[in-house]
Amino acid sequence: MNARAMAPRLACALLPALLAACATPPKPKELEAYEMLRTGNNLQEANKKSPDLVASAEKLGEKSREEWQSNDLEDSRRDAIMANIKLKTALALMEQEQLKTKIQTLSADQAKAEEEAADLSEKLANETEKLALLQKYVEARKTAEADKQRLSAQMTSEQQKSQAEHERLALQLASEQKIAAAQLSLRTADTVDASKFAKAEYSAASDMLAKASAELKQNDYAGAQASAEVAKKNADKATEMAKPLYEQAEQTSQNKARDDALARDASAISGADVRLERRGDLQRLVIAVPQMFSKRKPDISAGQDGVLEAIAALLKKYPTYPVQIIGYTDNRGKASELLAVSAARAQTVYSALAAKGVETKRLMASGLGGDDPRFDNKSASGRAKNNRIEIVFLYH
Amino acid sequence: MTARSGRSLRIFFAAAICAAFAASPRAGLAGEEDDLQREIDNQRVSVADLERLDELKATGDEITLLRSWLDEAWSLRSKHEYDQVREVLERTRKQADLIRAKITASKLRAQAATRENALADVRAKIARNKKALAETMKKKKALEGTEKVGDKGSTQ
Repeated sequence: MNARAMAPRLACALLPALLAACATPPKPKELEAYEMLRTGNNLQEANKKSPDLVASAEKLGEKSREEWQSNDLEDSRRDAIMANIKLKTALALMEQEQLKTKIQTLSADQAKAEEEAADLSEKLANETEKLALLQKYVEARKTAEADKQRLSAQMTSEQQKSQAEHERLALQLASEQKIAAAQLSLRTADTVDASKFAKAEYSAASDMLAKASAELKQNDYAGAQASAEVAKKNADKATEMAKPLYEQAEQTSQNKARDDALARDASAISGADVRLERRGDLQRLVIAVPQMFSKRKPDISAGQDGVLEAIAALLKKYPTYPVQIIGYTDNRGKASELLAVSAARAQTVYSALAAKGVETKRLMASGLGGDDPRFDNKSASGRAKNNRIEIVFLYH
Repeated sequence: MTARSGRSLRIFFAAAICAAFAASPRAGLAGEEDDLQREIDNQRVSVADLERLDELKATGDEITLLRSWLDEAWSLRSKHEYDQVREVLERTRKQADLIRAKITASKLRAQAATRENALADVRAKIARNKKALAETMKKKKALEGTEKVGDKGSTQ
């Protein structure tokens, strides 16, 4: 093989080796990492915060690149590591700065937010309290309204009850009053002894009153009132009917007692004879005083004043009786003379009694002469006794 | 001073200088080795401190790297490659600075996150309160409306 033929072949064989020898070696991974780190967006920021560190890192990085291109790989690797460290430190310092700023901002934001939250909480608390109060108020109002209605209904019911009770009491009272009135009427009837003088009416009144009381107990006020009214009417009627009878009986009783008393008092007068006579309906209490006058004379004998005084006292004590003063004589003489003497004598006594204060309008003086002799005119003593004055009390 | 004693003194000084020249590189090398060892030890202690400081475990990779570089420095020191040891130690110092910066950043990030959460809570509370307030106002309005109707009814 000649040299001319060998030359291309040798060139082909040596060219790759030559090219390989001249080619840049593979970039160290430390340098790649550094360059990767540089491509980040934060380099400018890091440079602002730590310009010396970033500049130093850049310088080392450049040096590493040059060393790599000069195939000084070990130095390139070492400088790349250092550049990496410095750039990372710069980035960390930058991050610190950013974080501090962020924390400040967050702190400010938090303070503001907390203030807002506190305001809002306060407002919420206020509004919640207002709402609670409003709810309470509405509830209270509802309750009050319900209470009002309930009380109103209760009051109406109570009023109705009260009204009914009032009416019942009024009826009861009216019934009791009517019964009391009937009882009073019945008691009034008792005072005139109506059970005796108006038996039927009184009995009817008593029965109706008992019925009224029973009806009152059974709360039958209308019936009680009606019965009481009937009882009252009956009692009044009984009273009306019994009253005159009762009064008459009473009067009779009183008169009899008075008459008896009169008779007793008259009997006590000394020098006078007392007797009772009946002439038809009339009763006559006769007080005969004999020998009051001298013979044929109308003048009162001396010593007769005591008898006249006693008679005058008796007349004053019993002032309601009509009294006759009757003069009598014996039968000796003319009748007309005797009559005149006896009348004069009666008149004398009338005057004497009037002088002693006896009311004269109840006195009637008359003379009967020798009529109606009480003793025998044949004897002197009989005649003397027939010359007499009789004071006659008249009554039924 | 005699001529003899002067010559002896000169010989002594000359011998001492020679001895000093002969011994100084070895003594200087021993001191540097100790310094580097102390530095490495100090930095290892610092790594432990950094680990404790990194409560949020944000720099696990960096600390691992730092440890590996300290091991490398130790290895180089054993080989008496002091220049390289210094070089590696310079790197580990910078790495420690980076770790501190990252730890601070991570703490600040956590703090920011806490603040963000707190802010979010407050904002959520605000939103809830706004909603509650709106509902309360609505209820109040409705009640007031009812009350007005009631008033009219009661006055009628």
